[in-house]
Amino acid sequence: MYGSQKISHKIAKVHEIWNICKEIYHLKVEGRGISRNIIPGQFFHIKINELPLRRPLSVFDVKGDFVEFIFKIRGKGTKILSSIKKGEKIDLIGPCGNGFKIFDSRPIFFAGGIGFAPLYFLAKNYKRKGVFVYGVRRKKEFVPFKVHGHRFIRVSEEEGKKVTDFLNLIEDDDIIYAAGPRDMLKKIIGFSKRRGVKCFFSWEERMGCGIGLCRCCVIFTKDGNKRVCVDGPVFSSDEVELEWL
Amino acid sequence: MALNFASLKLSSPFMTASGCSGYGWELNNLFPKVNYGAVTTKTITYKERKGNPPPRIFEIEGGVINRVGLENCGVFKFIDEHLPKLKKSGVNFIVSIYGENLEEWVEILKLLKGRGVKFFELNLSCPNLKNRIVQEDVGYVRRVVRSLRKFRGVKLIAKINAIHSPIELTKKLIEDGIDGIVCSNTFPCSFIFNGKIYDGGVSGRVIKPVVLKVVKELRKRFRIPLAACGGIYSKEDVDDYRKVGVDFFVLGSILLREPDIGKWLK
Repeated sequence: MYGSQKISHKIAKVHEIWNICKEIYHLKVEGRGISRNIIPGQFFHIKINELPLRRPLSVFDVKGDFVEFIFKIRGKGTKILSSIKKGEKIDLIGPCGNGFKIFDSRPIFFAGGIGFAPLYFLAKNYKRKGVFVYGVRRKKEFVPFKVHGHRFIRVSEEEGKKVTDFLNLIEDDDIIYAAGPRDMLKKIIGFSKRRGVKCFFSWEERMGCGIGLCRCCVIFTKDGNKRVCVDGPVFSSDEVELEWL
Repeated sequence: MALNFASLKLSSPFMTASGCSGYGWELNNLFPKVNYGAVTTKTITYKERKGNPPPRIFEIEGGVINRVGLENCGVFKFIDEHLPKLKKSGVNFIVSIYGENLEEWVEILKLLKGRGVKFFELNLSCPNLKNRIVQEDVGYVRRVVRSLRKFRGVKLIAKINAIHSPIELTKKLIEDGIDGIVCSNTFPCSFIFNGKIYDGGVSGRVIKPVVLKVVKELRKRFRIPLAACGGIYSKEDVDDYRKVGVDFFVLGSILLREPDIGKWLK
């Protein structure tokens, strides 16, 4: 599956959309060849009616001619997207971004909230099995998908546990993958730096074009500014300093 | 039909705005079949600029606010890394430039001219610079244009905004030998996000009525090649600009959403 599909502008069809829980939706779109060679961690940039900007959504899964997303209502765009109906057309640009690299080491995944989407897709396709820690704020925000093959730990802050309470499971030879809220990522990046454990994380930033042209979504790295949309969204903790984030 | 904008031969009247099409070659790599008359590079400065820290973009009703802050690799790296790709891509291009002072303007132009660049857009209106919009200081702008005008064989296009005395400015620019005008840059604005105040430049549909008025007035008074830039999202927007006598169109914020819009606009 590790090829990479060239970015293109496509029109797909909504195959299914359902309200998983609270403000979280599962969206499945259908389009010929759309799911080919997508790397976990990549995203599609989705047009929302006539809103001036697209919204980036990480790929959650692919099957045949289907691509799936999980998204949470965060503002106007995602609110409108949540009301799209089965059979309607959907305008996408993608797949965008670099995606996660795969290694031979034992993977340990830390997914916070909607960060579950890219890591689920990655873990599902990861040969070597490891640990998958998934945390949400409130219990009702859990999405009902289980990651098979890996040790699966599901926690909620409501029940007094956070994803970052499980950093002690990390061993020196492991490879860490993280996606979720910034505070969580910063903790994990800090840990990986202190302990010298390799860590890749998916970073979110307010985005313009999504294809590297406007330089709106930058992250400051040791090699200068990088664009989250094409140089990322996946970065390695070696590339950044905590105080820059 | 061959079009001619300030001696630049175009196969389409649609050009891309500076800042929305990278260093010019990337768009063509992604969407090779989309034919823009010309692409305009990000504004190139003498030294590399890091730009503003994120967040750099916000959406408002009918518009986009950006505060990129002229991030670019600087003229030397541009010449080494991007200009060869841009030339190889075969697209018509205009290099947008900005100098911190008169010497820099001249130096940037000289360096690029030495590498065969012929079409320059002078960014006189970036809203994301500390404390000033260059075009407000007409005396300085005139010194810049007169100094650059001394170089033979280059075409100078001024990127102005529609809200800082554009008509008086254009009159002076014409006197000083400018070859074309692109109106407008984004308008300076402020935006509150998560309780913090950010300054930036607003573009998109919201600015179109203002730009339409100004290009109409410019067209009435001057015969200079003129391209409209401001809220072009559809065929209707293009027709509106045509109606006031403008024949060239620069696409900005629309490219963030529809990078291949050139396929549909005719």
